[in-house]
Amino acid sequence: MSNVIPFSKALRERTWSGHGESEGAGFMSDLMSGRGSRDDYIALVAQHYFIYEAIESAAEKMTDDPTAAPFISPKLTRLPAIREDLRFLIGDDWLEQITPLNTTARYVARINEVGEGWPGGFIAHHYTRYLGDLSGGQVIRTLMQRQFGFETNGVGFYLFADIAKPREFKETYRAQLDAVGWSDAERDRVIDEVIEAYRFNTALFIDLANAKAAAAAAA
Amino acid sequence: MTTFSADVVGAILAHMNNDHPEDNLVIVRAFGAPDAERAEMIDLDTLGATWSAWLVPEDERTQVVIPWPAGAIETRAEIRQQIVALYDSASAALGLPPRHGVE
Repeated sequence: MSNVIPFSKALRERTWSGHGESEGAGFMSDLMSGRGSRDDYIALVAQHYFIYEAIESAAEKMTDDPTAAPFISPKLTRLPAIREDLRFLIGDDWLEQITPLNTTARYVARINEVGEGWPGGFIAHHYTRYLGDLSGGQVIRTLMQRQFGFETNGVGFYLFADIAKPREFKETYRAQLDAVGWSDAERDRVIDEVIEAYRFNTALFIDLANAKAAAAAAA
Repeated sequence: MTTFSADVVGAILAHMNNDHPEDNLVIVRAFGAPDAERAEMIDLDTLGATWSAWLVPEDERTQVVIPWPAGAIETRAEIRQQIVALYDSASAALGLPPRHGVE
């Protein structure tokens, strides 16, 4: 029988593995455990800018798509907060100071590609970023605030001010995932794209670690 | 500092280590032991919890002490909330596909 398992459940089960790649985890682990620097945090925010710029541009193109539209919400929009964070962290000329790392450029190219006409692929990237940030952002924000003495400036990215009840929001999102009438084959393609998004994230941490090592060597 | 009863601590550790070994691993990888291959929760109190992480080679171990994100807590129900919060933030930090945490 097909479609017996709710899609959101299949997605969770098939995309999650605690034995995933640990390579690259060091950059974020340092940041989370107080061993990272303010510059490390800024480097991460800068890459978020390019990633969310791509996702939110794709969302604009997808607003009239009947499959993608239910997932798109202004409550999730991160770009204005990221811009303000970067302005606070590195100054008014922040855009001139930041560059996408190699993985970010590939990640952005992929988001642009699916954003041109594959709603399932767009949803895969949308889900991976926003639901993760919504779930874990609160604690990450608190940790960064403590480490670097931020109040709300600098960590606006993690503040979903328009979502009072993240748990309910996530449940609605998952119900919407289950309501999409995808075929089994399309479900598989979407799940594969979520795994691809995870690979981009992992590769990005490796890039960030390498860029940090290169900067330290040059100093 | 207030501590939880040995019964409560034992029950939580048994639950985490028997039912959620991979959640333990995600948490330690995000909070200080990125190379861990296996992890076990070994203690907790009102201020935080301690995990033991196995690195490669297998006999090398390290301890990861993580304060509760909410600060000091008082009730057993809060322990669960804090572990879920740690798991969710660890998962987001590592870029893992989102999943509900400890059930």
